[in-house]
Amino acid sequence: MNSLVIYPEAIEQAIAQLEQWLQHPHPWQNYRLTPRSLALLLLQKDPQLWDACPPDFPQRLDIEHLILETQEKLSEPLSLAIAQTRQQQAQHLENQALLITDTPRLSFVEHLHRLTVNPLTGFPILLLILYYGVYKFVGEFGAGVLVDGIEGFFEEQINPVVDQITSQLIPWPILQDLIAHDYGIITLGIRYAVAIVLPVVATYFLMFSLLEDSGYLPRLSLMLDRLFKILGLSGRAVIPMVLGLGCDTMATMVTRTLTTQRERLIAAFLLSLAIPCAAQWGVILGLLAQKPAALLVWGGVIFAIFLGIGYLTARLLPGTSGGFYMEIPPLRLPKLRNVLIKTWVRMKWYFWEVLPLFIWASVLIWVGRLTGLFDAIIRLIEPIARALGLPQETAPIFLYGFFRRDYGAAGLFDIQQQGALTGNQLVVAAVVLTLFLPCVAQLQMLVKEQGLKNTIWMVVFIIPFAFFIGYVLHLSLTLLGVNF
Amino acid sequence: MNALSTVKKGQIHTVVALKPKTEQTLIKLMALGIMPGCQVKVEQQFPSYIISMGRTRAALDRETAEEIWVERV
Repeated sequence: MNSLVIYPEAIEQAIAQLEQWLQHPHPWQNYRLTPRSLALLLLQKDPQLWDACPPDFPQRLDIEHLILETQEKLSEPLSLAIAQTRQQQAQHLENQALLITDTPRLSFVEHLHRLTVNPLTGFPILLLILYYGVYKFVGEFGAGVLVDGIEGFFEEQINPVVDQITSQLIPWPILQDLIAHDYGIITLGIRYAVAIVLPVVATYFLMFSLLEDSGYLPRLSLMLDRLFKILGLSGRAVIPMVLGLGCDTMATMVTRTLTTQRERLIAAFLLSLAIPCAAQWGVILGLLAQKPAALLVWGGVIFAIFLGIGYLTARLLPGTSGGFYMEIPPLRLPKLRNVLIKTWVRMKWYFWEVLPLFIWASVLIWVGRLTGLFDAIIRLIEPIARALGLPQETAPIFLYGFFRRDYGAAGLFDIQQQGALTGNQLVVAAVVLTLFLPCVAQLQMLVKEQGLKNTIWMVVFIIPFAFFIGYVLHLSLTLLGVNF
Repeated sequence: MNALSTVKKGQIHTVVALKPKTEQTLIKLMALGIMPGCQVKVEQQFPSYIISMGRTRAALDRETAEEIWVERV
């Protein structure tokens, strides 16, 4: 035997027996592993290997029996015995190869690590990173400056050309609307993916890759694990939640990295309900900027709902949150080249993932308007808007806001410009828009990740809940005599 | 024998047993290099446990730290 690692006698015997069996045809021929490696994986009950084994494989029972027999001869779990042997061998090699001459001194990196994880300094650092990285860079620069620039270019240079060409090539206005005009596939769907999603996601991925390569993300997770436990989540869910502040669609997709279905469900639900995306909070901040107290009420209500509903969901859903364990790599200075390549690859992947969703949104709007379905829905929303103390002109905003992020908030902006909205009405509308489903692309991603049934449950809860909270807020502000 | 969640900061302990509730956690702990025989040091307990083994560092929540049994070296 020329293997580098020698396992305890019982395991070596089992490996020899398995190697012998594996000389005959078996279900793992295409794995390109040595019989010894295959044998070790089988002994560790590797799920992938066992899934690939058909129930009628003649030796399946023999192998299962052999594993049980081997386990009985050992005092600890088989996989632990294997891991321990490897660890000892690694330790042995390290001792041979490494000569430690000096006790390591406290380096700058070590000091920095301590500052980032010590509660006294770690939380302020965390807030600073979120403020400059997310709020300033993604929110103000990405969702503000860049979006305005690219969208302006689309509206001035591209849309008029598309409108003109379409009107010349297609004589039927109905079909023209599908491609061009206010809600067309090119003038809305593609413009959306390129002008709104792309800059937000580009700045977000850039910031995210920087944080990732610096080794800060695991520290962010460990600092927030306790807070997230209250919501039935673990520190791992910090990443999709922070991503949601960039783009909820992307964040909903990233929930698949969480370890349990329960955690994935809670995370996707909270993202849909209470995490506003950069396009959303960008405009809301603009709307309420002149009224700091109103902004505070909006932020307070959304944060309270995030915590309150998260807490209730965690109590009501059966099961417990998955344990939290994570390696903490040393802090490093990110390499710019790596960060840029990573950002580029992610942007490309994400763009192709969401582009079809936005094209679908255009088609849906086209069908909705053509069939009169949208008008019917708007008439349904009008009395609700009035109950919230809002003028009935705000009704279309809630419907179209779901399809066109900017229309929702920008529509509000237009009405405000005309002086038709009071401060209270702005806060109520902003809260309802934030709690409302983020957008049609996010809804499609939700179906993909959580299935139709769970998605329907969430929608059935979120829509009435958003209006209900708006109503309660309107009532409270009126009763307390608050005027922003 | 004590749970890792109860030992003092800065002292070196030897892991004597892992008693996680799920097989998945056991595999994860082993992958992090936390297994019987290895030496660990608790560096911090709040807001999460931070432990070091050799030149590796890991963060754990309280529940996981309660499932790792150690003895004072």
